Amino acid sequence: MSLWRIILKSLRQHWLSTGMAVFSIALGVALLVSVVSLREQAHHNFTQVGLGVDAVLGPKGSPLQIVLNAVYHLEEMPGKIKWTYYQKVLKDPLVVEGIPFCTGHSYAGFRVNAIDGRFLTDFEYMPDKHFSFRPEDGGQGRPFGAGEEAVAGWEVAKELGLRLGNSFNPVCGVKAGDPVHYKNNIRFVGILGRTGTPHDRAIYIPLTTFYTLEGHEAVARMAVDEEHREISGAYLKIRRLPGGAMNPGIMDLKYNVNQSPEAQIVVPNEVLPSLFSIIGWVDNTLLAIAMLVTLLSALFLLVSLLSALRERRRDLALMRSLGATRRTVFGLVLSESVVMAMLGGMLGLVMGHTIVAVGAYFIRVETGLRFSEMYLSWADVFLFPAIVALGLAVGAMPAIQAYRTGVLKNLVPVS
Amino acid sequence: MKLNLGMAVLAGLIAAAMAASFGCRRSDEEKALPKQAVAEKADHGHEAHHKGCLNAIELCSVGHAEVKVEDGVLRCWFVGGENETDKSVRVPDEEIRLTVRLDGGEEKTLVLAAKPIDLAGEKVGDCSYFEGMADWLKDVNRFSATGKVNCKGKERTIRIEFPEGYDPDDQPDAK
Repeated sequence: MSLWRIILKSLRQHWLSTGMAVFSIALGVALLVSVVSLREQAHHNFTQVGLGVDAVLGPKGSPLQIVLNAVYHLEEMPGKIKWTYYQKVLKDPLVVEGIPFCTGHSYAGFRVNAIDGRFLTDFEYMPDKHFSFRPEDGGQGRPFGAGEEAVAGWEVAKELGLRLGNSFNPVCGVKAGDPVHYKNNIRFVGILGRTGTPHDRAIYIPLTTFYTLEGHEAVARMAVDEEHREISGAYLKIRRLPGGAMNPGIMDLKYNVNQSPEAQIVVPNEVLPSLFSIIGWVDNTLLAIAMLVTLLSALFLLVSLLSALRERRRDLALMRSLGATRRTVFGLVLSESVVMAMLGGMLGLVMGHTIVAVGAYFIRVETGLRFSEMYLSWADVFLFPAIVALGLAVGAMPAIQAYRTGVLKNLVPVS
Repeated sequence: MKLNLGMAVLAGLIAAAMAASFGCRRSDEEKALPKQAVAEKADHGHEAHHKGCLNAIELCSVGHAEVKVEDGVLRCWFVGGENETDKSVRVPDEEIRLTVRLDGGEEKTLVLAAKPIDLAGEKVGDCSYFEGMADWLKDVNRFSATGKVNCKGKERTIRIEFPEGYDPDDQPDAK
C-alpha cells in the first residue's frame, strides 16, 4: 500500500475530527483571504478613482466631505462657491481646465449632478479614459444638450431599467421626503458605457438647467448672470510635468486658494489616505481576528493529530514490525498534517472568494465601485507556502512522537 | 509534558504574529513624510508647506517667516505660529528691509517687496507674501538675515537662518 493511500485511509478513519480540523482551518483562511482582498481592493479603488481628478475646487469645510461628494457621489457639499472666484482660479497658469458642477439633487436613490457638458466629452475618469456612448462599451445615445435632457450612468440605467426617451422628476435634496420638482420632466438622451467607477451611479443634467428647475426662482438668474452665479465645486485638471508627474506647483496653488475665505482646493490623493487612517484600525482588527482564527485552527489540528496518534500507536508499531522505518512513520504523520492543512487551505480559498463575491455585490450596489471576487491579493499569493509551513509546524510534534513509538511496547496484547 | 511544550510554542507563534501585526508601526501620516521631516515634526510640530525653512518671528507662538531661495529670488511667506504654519499671516508692510550676513561675513541689504496673493484676496498693505531679487543670491547656500516686520499689531524683529531655519527654543541661551 502506498504512503498516500495510507494517509487517505487514516483521514477517512478519523473523518469527523479530520473534517472539523479542515473546516476550522478553512474558516481562518477564508477570513484572512476575504479581509485582505477587500482591504487591498478598497485601497486600490479609492486611490485609483481619485486619480481621475487632479484637484477639486470646493467650498470651505471638510476636505474629505468634498472628495466624497465630488468624486464618489456620497455625502453632501458643505456649501457653495462663487462662479467669479472659480473663473479667477481658472486663470492660474497651472490650471489647464475646470469642469464646474452643482450637486444636491437625486432621483430614485441616485445622485443627480448638474455639470458642464465637457464632463461627458473631455473629462478623464481615469488617466486617458473618457466616457463612451458606444454600444460596445455598454453606452447608448448622446451627451445632453441644453434644457431638460439627462445622461444616466451605466449602473443607474441598469438598476432602473432606463431606456432612451424615459423621463424623470428630480428630487430637490438627497434625503427621503425631500420635495420633488414635479414640473420638470427631464428626458434621458444618453447612457454612459460602464466605467467601474462611482460615475456609473449618477445622473447628469446640464449645469444651467439646475438654476431653472421649478422652485429655484431665487437662483434662476444665475443661469445667465455670472456675477451672482454659485456652484458646488469644480474638477480641476492641473498642468503636468513632462513625463506625466504632478506639477509640484499645485502645493502653492492650493496654499493660495486655501488662504481665501471663499474656497479651498482639495487633492483627492492627499485626502483619501486620511480616510484609510480613520478606518485603518477596523481592518487591522479584522486581520488580527483572521490570524487568531487561523492560529486557533492550527491548534485544533494539532490536538486532532495527537489524539489520532494515540489511537494509532498500535497500527504504527505494526507497520514498524513489518519493515517500515522510523523515517517512514515520521513522514506519514507529517504528510497527514500537511494534507489536512492544504485541504483546509483550498476550502478556505473557495470560501474566502465567495465572501469577497458577496461583499463586492453589496459594495457595487452602494458605491458603484467595482470589486472583483477573482482579485489576487498577497494573502492568495502566500497562502499555499504558508499553509504548507503551518502543516509542517503543527505536524512536527506528533511526527516526532510517532518517530519515537516503541514497537515492542505497543505490540503487547491489550487484553 | 510534551503537549505543554507544544502549547508554549504555539502561544509564542501567536504572540509573534500579533506583534508582527501591530507592533513597531509608523502612522500613515508619518509614512508619507521623509525621515528628516518626521524628525523635524517630532521636534517642533511645524511643517513648511512651501518646502522652505521656517524662521520664528521672535517666538514660535507669534508666527513664522517661511523662506525659500530659487534662482536668485528670495521668497518669504508669513505664516502662523505653532501648528498653524498652513495659514497665512498678513502684515501691513509694503516692503521689508533685510540685512543679510553671508557665510564669509560679508553684509548685504535685500529689500523684499509685497507680492499680494490674488487668489487669497490680498493687497499691498495687507499681504503675507514677499519677494526680493539679487544676483548674489544665486550663489548663496547659507546666510543669516535680520529685519523688522509689523506682525500682530507690533513691530517685531525677524531673524532668518538659511537653510536651517530659526527656532528660539533651539538657541543655546533658550533655557
